[in-house]
Amino acid sequence: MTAIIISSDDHDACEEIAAQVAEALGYRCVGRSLLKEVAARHKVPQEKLVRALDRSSVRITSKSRNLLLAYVQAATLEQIVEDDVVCAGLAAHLYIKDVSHVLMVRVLSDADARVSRLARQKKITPRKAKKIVERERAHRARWSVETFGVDETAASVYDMVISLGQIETDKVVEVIRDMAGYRKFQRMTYSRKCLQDLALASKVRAALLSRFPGARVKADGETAIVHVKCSKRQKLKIAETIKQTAGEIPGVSLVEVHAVK
Amino acid sequence: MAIVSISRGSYSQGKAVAEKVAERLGYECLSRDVLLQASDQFNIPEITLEHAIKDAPSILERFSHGRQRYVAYIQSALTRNLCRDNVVYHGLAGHVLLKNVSHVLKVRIIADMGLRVAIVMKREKLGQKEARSYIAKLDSERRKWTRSLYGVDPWDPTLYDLLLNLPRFEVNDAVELICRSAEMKQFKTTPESNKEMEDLALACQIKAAVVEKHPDVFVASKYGNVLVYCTEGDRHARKLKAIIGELCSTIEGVNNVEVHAGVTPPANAV
Amino acid sequence: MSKGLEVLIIDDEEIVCKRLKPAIEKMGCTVETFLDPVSALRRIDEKEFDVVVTDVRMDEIDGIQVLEHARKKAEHTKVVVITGYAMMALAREAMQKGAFDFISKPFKPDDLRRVILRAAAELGTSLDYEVPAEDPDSK
Repeated sequence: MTAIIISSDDHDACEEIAAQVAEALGYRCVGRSLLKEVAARHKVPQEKLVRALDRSSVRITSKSRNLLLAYVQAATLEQIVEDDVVCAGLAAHLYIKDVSHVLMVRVLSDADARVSRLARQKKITPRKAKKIVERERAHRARWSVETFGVDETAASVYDMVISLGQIETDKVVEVIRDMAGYRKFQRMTYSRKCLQDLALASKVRAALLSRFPGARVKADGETAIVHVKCSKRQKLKIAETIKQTAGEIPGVSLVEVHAVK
Repeated sequence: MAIVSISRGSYSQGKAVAEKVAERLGYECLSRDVLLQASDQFNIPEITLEHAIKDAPSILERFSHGRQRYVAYIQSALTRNLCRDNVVYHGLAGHVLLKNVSHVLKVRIIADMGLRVAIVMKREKLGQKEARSYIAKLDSERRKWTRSLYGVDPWDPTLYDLLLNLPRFEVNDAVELICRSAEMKQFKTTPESNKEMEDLALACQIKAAVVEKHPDVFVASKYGNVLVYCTEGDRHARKLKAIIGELCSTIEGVNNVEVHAGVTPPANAV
Repeated sequence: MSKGLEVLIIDDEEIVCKRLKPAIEKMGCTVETFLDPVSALRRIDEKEFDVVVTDVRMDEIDGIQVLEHARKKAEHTKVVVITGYAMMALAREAMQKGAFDFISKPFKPDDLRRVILRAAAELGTSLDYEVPAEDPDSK
């Protein structure tokens, strides 16, 4: 039992491969269609969620972006906890860390083909197109570091990086499908707990973030541990509010609040 | 059949993977042998060649071109071996040089710091802190080396067809993945890709022959038509053409030689 | 009548053995417990167990050594590693060395029972015991 996260520098390729891997394994496929549910649940425009994920800063403040991404993160983790799932397009590779049964794969598009396609579309020289592609790559790296503290272009984030430059899509799908059966990617009780803790923490954080934008949340079993910046004077009142809000989240039976300077 | 080029971080178990891949595929496994051959052929001590490809170039070396010469010798020995096909190569100076040869499966093996530190502590008998600093220094040297020679960052995943992060895999799983990829039709040698490899080997051979006296020369070859690019003026270019013309008359596979002075060499020139 | 499993539990904390023994016996399994891993290894040499549940941090011999020893003795033995010092690197190491599962302490007896049921299924034995399904909201 595995969860597979597929990330790519080409959104369309990512979704296609995720769908094919899910079909090959008989897994659920979770992608951008989840955003409709997220939008309805939190009463935000779906388009804004897409923009937050697509690293666009147009008409979106960073505070707003963080809140929207928190909603996406909570909903995504809720799906991934249930196992036998392939997930793509929801930036899960940036907020799921160190869970051994989650297989992280990055698929790189055929760089030359992408440059040619862009040059044709925009009627520019390949050299200019290449510069645009490189700039976009640098922008994504910056965005992922600013938002999640992780450089999504760094190989160390993934278990495997595979390029579509020479290797065809159907072969990539085969490789990922077979990797899901490798022993090291099988679920353990401990790894499942780690994922459940992440999921619970993200639910609590999504509930707190609008009032406490700097809140950092961890979970351990049924305990939510919240670190929040505040003065000694404010701590009591803030702790009370946080405990009340977090305590209402299903699965939370104890809330610890720590004030940090 | 294919060529598998495995680039590996230091102490990442990449050597073990490469050797097992070679064994599984029934391929030859090359690494150090390339240095030995280059050392024999060009009469340079092996240790000098090893330093040339391991240590980042100092500022003085960037001006003296000594390292360039040694790297050219190694590349010549390497590409000559790779023309034989069915080879797994693991070592420096490989994957970037071979990026335009389509039947080369370019693999990178990386490992997280925890594993590498543990290996270094055991092998080199160092404490944890020293092991960490040692690895950081090695990584820095290698990155600088590749950047100075090829202008690319060896950590850039876009340079490879496949990149595997040990120890998230068992070594045997990593070996299996690589072997499967090597057997894909995209990595089968075709007459065209074979020609690409031969052209590359030819270009490296010529470069190695002239680099000592002409360190600023770049060489490319297409279907045996050798193109030499130099920064020197027309007079030197004519002299160079004469030297190379004479040289090429003794080398099989050369159809034609052109020397271009003051022209930017193409990206695939060595 | 379904045949139960032969289970061995090794933990240098007496309370753990005292708590887990009846919890697993309730499933129809035969359970032996050891506080001392050296004696436990000797017992493993004498008898083939279906499931070995072992703590990691113990004096003289650690749980990973127990895992390696048990797996060497009988490949079919399912070794479950339990620890209060869980880290993903340790968990991965255990899996790499053939652990059937890895559980962090503290855990509920039902968590271990689920693993035992899974082990039984893989060993082709059915146990006459049902563990309530996990409630995702109560965790």
